[in-house]
Amino acid sequence: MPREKFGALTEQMFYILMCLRSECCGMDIMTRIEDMTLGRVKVGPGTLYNLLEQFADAGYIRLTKVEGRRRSYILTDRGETALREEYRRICTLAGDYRRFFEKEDGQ
Amino acid sequence: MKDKRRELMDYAMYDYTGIQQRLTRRAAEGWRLEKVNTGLGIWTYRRAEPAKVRYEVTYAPSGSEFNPRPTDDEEALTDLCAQAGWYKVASLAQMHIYCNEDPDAVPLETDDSTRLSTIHAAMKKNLLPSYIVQAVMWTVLAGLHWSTVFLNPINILTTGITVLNLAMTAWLVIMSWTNLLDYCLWHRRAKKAVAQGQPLPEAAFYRKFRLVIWASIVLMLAGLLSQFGGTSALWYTAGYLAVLILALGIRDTIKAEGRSAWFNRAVTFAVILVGIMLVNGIITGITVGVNRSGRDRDGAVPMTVSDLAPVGEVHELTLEDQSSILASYGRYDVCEDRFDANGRREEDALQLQYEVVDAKLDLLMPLFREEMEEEFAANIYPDENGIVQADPAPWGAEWALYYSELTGGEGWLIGWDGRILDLRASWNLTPEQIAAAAEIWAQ
Repeated sequence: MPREKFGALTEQMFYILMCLRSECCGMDIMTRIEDMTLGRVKVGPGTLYNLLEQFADAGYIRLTKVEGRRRSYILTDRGETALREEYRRICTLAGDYRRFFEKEDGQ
Repeated sequence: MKDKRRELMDYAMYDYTGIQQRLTRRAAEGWRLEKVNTGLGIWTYRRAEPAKVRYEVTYAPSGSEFNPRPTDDEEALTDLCAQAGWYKVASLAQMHIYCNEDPDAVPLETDDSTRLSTIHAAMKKNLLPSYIVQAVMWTVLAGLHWSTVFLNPINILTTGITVLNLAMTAWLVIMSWTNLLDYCLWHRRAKKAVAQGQPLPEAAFYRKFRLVIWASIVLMLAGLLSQFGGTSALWYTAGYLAVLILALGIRDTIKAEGRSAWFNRAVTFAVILVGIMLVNGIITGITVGVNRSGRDRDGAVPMTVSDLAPVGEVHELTLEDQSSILASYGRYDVCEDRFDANGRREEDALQLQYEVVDAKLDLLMPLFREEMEEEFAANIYPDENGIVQADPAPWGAEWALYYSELTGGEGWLIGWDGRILDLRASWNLTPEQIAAAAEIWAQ
């Protein structure tokens, strides 16, 4: 079960899947994540390579293009679902946080 | 000034921090890693300007030393790392070593949970099955070796090479289980660390344990030298090294020919197996031959007939004489040289046959006593008087067994602290003769 394999996505997994909403290669992913998070999140090439392998094995992404040694990927429906589920999970956490502290502030 | 430096790679594959720290330290000292000899585990460095270089290790589970060329996945990893400023220095099966001189470069690995799952995947594909096979194989082999101690303790424990063999198999069992358990424990700790958001733990135990490994290897080599003498030990070492180098050469040739990893693996392992069997067979055969040829020899026995009775010439023969760090054993035959007119030994010529075992550890005595008693009983003819407990006091011993032969002569099995003597005399010993013998044997 791919979803069970990854459990909750780590920050780096989340951003990699986000980047792959549109086709891109490894180096593009590293640059995009850094830009997207204003340098807060950086993904190393070793980590990226192994996560891409694991995502491809789990059917979250698929290979779209091989140019020499450069490989491009795109998110699959399964990956999209996993990303959305992770987003909902984060929103639930944020909602719980908000409700708790709003209640506390109200008292 | 030397431009090359070689070191033995003695890190566990999953000890990436140890490897990174050593390579970074060497670079600061002016030595850059040039290549890794995967078979012999030797790292070669070249001299360079001392510099602050970052070394990092990553893993590609699809890699193998037997692959004819880097897999597409490995090529993709190399390319990705190069784009991020990391250049490959060497690889060892699934482990790849990269370097970067930019202090601000993004590290190769930025997610410990991914690093851990990759290391585990790499271990499961290659080293872990090998650890398990080795642990089981050495345990079974050691079990077989050690069981012989109970079947034939005197011969096994008084022969230097068999004692060394027992020590070596025990060492291999400890080593193989330590490797396996160390990884399992490290993996468990690492999983816990990841779950708690902590950095992966260092494989520190293996680094400490390797000192024990080297110390024990040195001790065993010293044991080999003392048992076989320098020349034979060198032959063994040279033989095993030749097998290893031959196997590595064959592996690299098959790799260069582009044959499949499985074919390469099968041929290489077959070469190692056959090579080790040949080396063992040839060198052991030579060594045993040398030992046997020197076994029966005249003179230099601990007790002779003339020590007990006034006789003329005596022929003394050492039939067996062997010792180890645990115990020693000797078997002797001494006989009065008195012949008739036809040159045949006189029937009433006095003869002593005896064997003695000395144990350096008290706990071995029950084993030796049991075997000696069995042999003592087995050598009595059925029509002779049975074995009786005798008074050990005249021998200054702790216990004594005795039988007398119907044709004259008698047998004694006498036990002292750490020594057992099986003595057969062709005549009945007088109290004075027993006292003289006791003076020789009582410790």
